[in-house]
Amino acid sequence: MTERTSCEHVRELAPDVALGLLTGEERAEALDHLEGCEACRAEVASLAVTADEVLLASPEADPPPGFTDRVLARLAAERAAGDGLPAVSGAPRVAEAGPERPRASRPRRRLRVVALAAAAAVALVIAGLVAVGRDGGGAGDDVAVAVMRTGMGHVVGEVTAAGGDPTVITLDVTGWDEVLERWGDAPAGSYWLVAEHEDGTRTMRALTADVDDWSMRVDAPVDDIATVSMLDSDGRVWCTGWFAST
Amino acid sequence: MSYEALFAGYASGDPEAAAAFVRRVERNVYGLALAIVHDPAEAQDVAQEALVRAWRFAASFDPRRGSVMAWLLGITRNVALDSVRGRGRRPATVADVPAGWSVDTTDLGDVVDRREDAARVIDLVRELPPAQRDALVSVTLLGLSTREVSERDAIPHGTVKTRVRLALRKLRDDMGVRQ
Repeated sequence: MTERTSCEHVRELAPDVALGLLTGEERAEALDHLEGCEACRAEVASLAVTADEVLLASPEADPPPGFTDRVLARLAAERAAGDGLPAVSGAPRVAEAGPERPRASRPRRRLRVVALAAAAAVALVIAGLVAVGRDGGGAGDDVAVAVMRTGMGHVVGEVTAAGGDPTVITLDVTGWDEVLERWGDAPAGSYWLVAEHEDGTRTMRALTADVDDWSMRVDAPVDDIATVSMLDSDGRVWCTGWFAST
Repeated sequence: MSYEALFAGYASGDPEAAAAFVRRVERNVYGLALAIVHDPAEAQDVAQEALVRAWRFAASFDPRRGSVMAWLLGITRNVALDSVRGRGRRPATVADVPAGWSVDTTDLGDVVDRREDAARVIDLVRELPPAQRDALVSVTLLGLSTREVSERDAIPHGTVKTRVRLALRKLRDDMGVRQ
């Protein structure tokens, strides 16, 4: 410990540490000292609590409509990613019945289809700040493929992002029979195909039960797509594919 | 139901509790985010991220050291500052503080709802010496750095730092926060 990082010096800087005002070497030295000094840690902690209390005096404002729902959807996604299971029994299904419904006997079904333009699809861009991890897959010049996994790590298919004007994202689910077996009693409804961009914004497409193609047009280059997720109508993530960094 | 009780449900992942908690705190979280980033869309992103982080790090919340709301707003402030500075911009300054809200904290109690949990804090902040109060509010509620305050008010940087330190220590002692 140098003279500059004595208790006396750190106590003097404690408010700055508590408020996050220190930077660079000064901050590093202070933190290094705090690591081994319980008394100084207590001093900083009490000031940090005080600084947080000041925030109670902050102004209030009404967030935009739908804010609560978007937060809850994010939380559901986080939970699903953490424990691997949707928080409810709902899960993606393509159709209630009819010739387009995936059959359990088919080991693999490519869910390909009608990605109509924005007028036909419900496409939204929602800003987000999710920091996403990456694994699997690989992003090439114009085609990227990523494995789709549940939060438990089970591989359920793959997602392809094909470059063009616009980029087309297609979900290809393997083991569909298992999906039906596991989620066979899932309520009918709509689902979301969500592409998260590198800057954290998202492009979403609502898929209804009568659409058997999970694809989406995205107005962004392939390299800009960070993840693709499949959500149920309540916004709960069922599976996600992470594209590797280029 | 108290914030703490709602937060417990929120942390547990209970959907109803989560919805109740978010609805209870969203005006505070969004309000602070807006005060710092000064952009409605960005403030929404910040508020959302702050709430998610609060859920993710719920286990780190220690009720003995402060209220849930204060802890949550601390997270919000950090996310807001990251967002603003990460994009190469400065937090809101006095010149562009949202209309209806002044950095002059003599008016703080008039522009902020005197929520029961905030009223005492507001009173104590108002009792600080004006120069200290302005410096502290600038770096906490507005997210300015001490150097930015120094430039804004044309006073030495060291003076600003001293004022902030004195104000925060005095406030801690007045609040009776344990060391």
